[in-house]
Amino acid sequence: MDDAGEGLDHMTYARVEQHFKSMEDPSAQERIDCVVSLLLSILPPPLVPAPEVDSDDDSSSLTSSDSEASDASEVHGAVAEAAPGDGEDRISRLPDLLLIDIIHRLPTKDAGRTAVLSTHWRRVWAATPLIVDDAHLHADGPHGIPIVRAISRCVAAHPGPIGGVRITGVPFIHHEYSLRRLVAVLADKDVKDLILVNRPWPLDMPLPNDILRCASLEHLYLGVWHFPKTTAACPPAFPDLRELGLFHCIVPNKELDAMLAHCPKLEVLSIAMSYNDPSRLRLASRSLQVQHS
Amino acid sequence: MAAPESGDGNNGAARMVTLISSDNTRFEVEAAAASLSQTLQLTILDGGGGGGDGIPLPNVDSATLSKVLEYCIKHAPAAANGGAPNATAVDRAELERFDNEFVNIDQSVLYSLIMAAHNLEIEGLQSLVAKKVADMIKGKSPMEIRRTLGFPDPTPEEQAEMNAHMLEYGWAYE
Repeated sequence: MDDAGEGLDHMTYARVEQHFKSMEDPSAQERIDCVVSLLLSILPPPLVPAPEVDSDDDSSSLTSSDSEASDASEVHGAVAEAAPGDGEDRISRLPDLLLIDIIHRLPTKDAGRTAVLSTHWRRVWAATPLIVDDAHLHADGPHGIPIVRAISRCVAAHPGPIGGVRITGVPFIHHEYSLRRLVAVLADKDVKDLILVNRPWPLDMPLPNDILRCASLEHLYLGVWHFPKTTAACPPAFPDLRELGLFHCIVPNKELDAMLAHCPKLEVLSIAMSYNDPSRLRLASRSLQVQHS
Repeated sequence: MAAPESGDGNNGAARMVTLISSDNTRFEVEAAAASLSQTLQLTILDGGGGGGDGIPLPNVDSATLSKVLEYCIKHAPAAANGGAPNATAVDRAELERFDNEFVNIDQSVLYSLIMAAHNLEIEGLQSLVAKKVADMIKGKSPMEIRRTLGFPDPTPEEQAEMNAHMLEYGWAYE
């Protein structure tokens, strides 16, 4: 029944993987990395840009003091333009709304550090929609917390709502349990924007069913996953979803139909390298634009 | 031609309005610049602020108001162009230079500015100051942030609490 001559819509992950591995010269890993970086380049930009790598060596980087121990002893070289204060803490007295505006502009780690400043700041951090970006968290830091655990802890520490999650650099292969937990928590805490890319191999890493339960999603981009069956116990529910991107995911037409049927507000459907025959996509949706690359 | 119709329904030469700070200083400024404030824009559209009577701003002192207006006057032309789609790269670079220079100020002034921007609903100015404060926090340890913002030294209890939370929030320190 899986007739090889039938065409692309019978494409399976196994065949794609076999195809990659059958070629030599650049290795399969190099080829797939190339594909993934192409996919990443067409994702929406991060909500908060990643900090420059050099300036954020470690929280305890007071060590580089041999160069020029200036009078303002605790000032980092990279952030030397900090406004002078007069020893009175005014900023903490700003209304919550403004402190939230400030925290919302910080990369994940820096925002998290404000939660340690005082009870007041911890409360404000908790009231700020969480932004998680794996590019803001170091992979396997000096104390050896794997990045998946760091992400999970960060999400667990926050009461929600979760504003945006962007994970693009993690091979989830050995973290299936953490991944399931993570997606379940994202669903529980009303994640609004989610970009979730699995770094291969394998190509058919199963995306947890709970993704179909993330009812607050407005933007969803998925890369390199084995898409869950929408006929599973919980049907998809995306009443507010406006943008859906499926990158390098094999999604059978039946599943796509079921998804779209539950996305009444969908405006953008972006399908990239999904090994589907585009002419066979039957799209039943009212206000949809299609970009096919 | 220097002051074309700025979309506020008035035409002809630049319309001026008067703003009165909490300490009773009067500032005369083009309506187009004052209209960067959403709250003032409404008053101005209703015909307020012209002639002899000014618009009283009981929450903004004169030092802060003059700083706020410096920002508004600089940004008014770009704002009148609807976010300046036809601004040249030079114009934009100049605005950016101005902005960077503008927030290079004491924290007490930053505080007054962001409060004024918030009360007067000047979105661009609020973002500018919020971004500046965020930049002051970025890349620092909690103790460094506390010192930068002028927290008093932690009591032993506070220190213990911070240490406990630093363990709990380990992902923020890796």
